[in-house]
This record gives sequence, structure tokens and C-alpha cells, in this order.
Amino acid sequence: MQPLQINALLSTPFVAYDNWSPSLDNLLIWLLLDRAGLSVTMPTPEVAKQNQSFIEDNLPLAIGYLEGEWYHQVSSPHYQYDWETITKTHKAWNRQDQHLDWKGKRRIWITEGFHTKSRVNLLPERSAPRIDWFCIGDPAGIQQLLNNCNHLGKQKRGQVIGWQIYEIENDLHLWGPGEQLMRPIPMQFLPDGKPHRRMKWGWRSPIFLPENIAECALPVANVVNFSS
Amino acid sequence: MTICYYCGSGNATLPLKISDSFTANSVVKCPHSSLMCSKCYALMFGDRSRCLFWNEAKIDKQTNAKAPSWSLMFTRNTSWLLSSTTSFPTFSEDPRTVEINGKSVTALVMANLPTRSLIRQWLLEPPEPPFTIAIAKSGQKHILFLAQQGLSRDYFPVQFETDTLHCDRAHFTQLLIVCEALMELGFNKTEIGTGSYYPSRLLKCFDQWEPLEAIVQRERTPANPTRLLQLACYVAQKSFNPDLS
Repeated sequence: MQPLQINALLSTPFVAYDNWSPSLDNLLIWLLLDRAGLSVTMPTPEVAKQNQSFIEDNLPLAIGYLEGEWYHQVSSPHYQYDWETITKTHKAWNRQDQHLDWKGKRRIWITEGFHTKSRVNLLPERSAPRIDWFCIGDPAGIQQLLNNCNHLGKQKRGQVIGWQIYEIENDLHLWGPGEQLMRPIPMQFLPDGKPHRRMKWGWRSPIFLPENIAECALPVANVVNFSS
Repeated sequence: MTICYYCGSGNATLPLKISDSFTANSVVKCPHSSLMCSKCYALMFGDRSRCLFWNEAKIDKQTNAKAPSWSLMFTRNTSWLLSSTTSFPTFSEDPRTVEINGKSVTALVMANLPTRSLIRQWLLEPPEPPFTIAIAKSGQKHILFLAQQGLSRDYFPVQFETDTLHCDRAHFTQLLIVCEALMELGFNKTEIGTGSYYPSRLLKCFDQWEPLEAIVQRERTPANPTRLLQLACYVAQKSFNPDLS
């Protein structure tokens, strides 16, 4: 495991709801589970906990500790974007989806009622040619996983032209060259005087488990908007 | 698992109940949970789902004159401003019985609905954290269960209809001042949001308009205004005198 810089070269805008997405550790975990046939569309907490040991043994990312609390040693995405626009899309229900309860009906109305199509009014797309992450990991293992990743974000936007993985001298996954915060960490681990955003955040994967959500300090300058 | 199906809070104890009219099942926080919390239950099915509201602006259809009277209102129609010290709207402690359209109705009384100027005030000067801001633009959806708590006065989440915006207070303040200055020049919110200004209005104040538009333009893409600009246009008030310096 060594310090790495990972670049995603993009040909189309990608969808990002906040300045700390897309997350590389969540992406690599998804690719790992998908390769092993363990990925599911909407995992329950029980499924997520069952997969934890498989992820610990096979994920090519180093695990770090902050006063006993583990985390994957990956930074938030760093990129500069020119503009952000909003697109709309519809989500239609997949009748074959096993977790939906069709209540024994043969015909399902999707224009009204319980199973209506949901119009997703907001897909904020950002135009950036490149996204960088800094991490500690195994370059060959990460390259093998990323070879199967052709897009970033929702709706298969953010088409990836290629991935670049460089070995770097310094470990930049947590503190940057100017000692700036590079990834979300719980507030109690943040030294005084560091600029940050303060929010409740899922700072470890899987982010929907309550034990992985905490009041966190998030990086401030990882995303730069050229238009503002 | 004691996580609420709707809002994802960890203190869910009540069995899950989903109304046939609730169609946002794709965006609930914990879709595999079979429980809901008491707060969500009160808002969707309990004593706070429909409340009495003294409607000052009600108009008599026959006489076309103002006739203030009681209305029975869904609480999902309102915006929400919640903090540890103050909350809007406010609810009475005990239910009240009134007559509406000849029928006797018993419900809690809801008052002090958040107005746009009050929402504007909270966005510019948020209360001490934690606080929650949920803005109902259409008044037809449950949005409070989607709202996130703000933990910082300078950067906080705002639930604007079904979208969560992360609001940088300094940036938003600047944008709001510019929007209100443009409104003072005679432009309406649609023009400011879309960038399509009436030429006749432009001719009257082009020199004053140009530097303001240069700031707003950064918040606008060729197709749509950004979410922050939409929020600024929603709460902008023409009566305030912005400090253009």
C-alpha cells in the first residue's frame, strides 16, 4: 500500500448533489461487490454488515484509525468545474424488482397511486474535465477494479475516458500540502483553527448505517467553481 | 432496526403506515424499515396532519368580500422553520372545536405560518444550531421528513421542495442582495431567474442593470437557473432596500 493520486478523465458532465461526491471508497466497494456478485440495488443494513468482512479482506485500500475509529484512507474528490446545470428525469418502477410489494395485483397503475412514476426534478450536473482523489492503496488492485468503471454518478452521466493512477511521495488523503482538510472526519478529531464545513455526514462506507454517520468537519476548498 | 422509514431517525417505535396518496417511496430515508417515528406519524396521520388555521385572506365567493374564517389545512402545505428556541408554525396544546361549512371540526390550531420574509430572515441570519429549514413551494408534498438539520450558521442544508441545497450564507446573501436590487429596478423574478429581460425595461436602466446581471449570470446556465438562484428568487422581497455597495 502506498500513497496514490487517482484521476478520472471525464468526457461528459457528471451528477453531484454536493461538493463531496463522488466518493472513491464507495465506488471501489461497489465495483468489488459487483465483481463478486454481491451487489444489490438497495442493500439492507443486514446485507451491508454481512459484506463487511469480504470488503475488509479484498478492498485494495488502506484502513486508517482516528483514535480507534477506522476509516478508508481516501480523500474527497478534488476538481474544478465551469458550470452547473439542472436536468430532469423520470424514474419508472421495474415490475421485476423483488423488493416492491405489488399487493397481489396483476395490473399496476403507474400514473397515479402507490406506484406512480417519480419525476426526479433535480439532477445537478457539473462540467469538469477531471476529478482527483488521493489515497493509500494497492495501485494494481485499484486499476483492476476501475477498469470496469465507465461512468460516475447517476443516470450513467459522467462518462469516463480513462483512469490514471500515480504513485506520489506524500500522503495527502487526510491533510493537504497546506495542511488543509482533505476528507470528512468527525468533529472531535479536527484540530482547532482548521477551516471546515460542519454537517451531519456518512463519513465511512456504507454511509447509510447509523454507526457511520456523525457530526463531521468537511473540506472547504476541494471543489472550485470557476463561474463564481 | 429502529430507523424511521420516512426520515431515517433512530427512534422509530410505531408500526409503519403508508397512505395511498404518498408516492415518494423512492426517496424515503430507510426503505427497508417497518417502523416510523412519532414525529412523522403525527405529521402524516396524527393530530398534526390536519390543523385549524384562521384564514384572514379568505374571500366569500358570493359577495367577493374578505370573510376571515377557520380553514382545515394539511400541515404538509406549509414551510417549516425549526430550532431549539423558536419554531414556525406553532401549534396549540389542546384541540379546538369550530364550525366549518356547517360541520363541527375538532383539531389543533396552527398559527404563525412561515412567510417568505420570515424564511428570508432565517436564511440570512439563521438561529443557533441545530436548526431545520424546509420550504414548501408547491404546498402539495410532504417535505419535512427529507429535511436535514443545520449544524453551522455559515453553511447549512435547506430543504427547498424536494431538493436539498447546501447554502453558503455569504454567497447566498450576496446573491439575494443583487436579486432584490434587480427587483428594485423593475424586473420580476421570472426575468431574473431565466435571464430573459423585457427590452423596454432594460432600456430604462441599462447602466444599473449591467453590473448586477454580471453577478447573477454566474448563477445561471443556458437552460436553467441554479438551485441557489431559484431559492434567492423565491425569498427576494422588493420592499427591502438593498445595500448596493
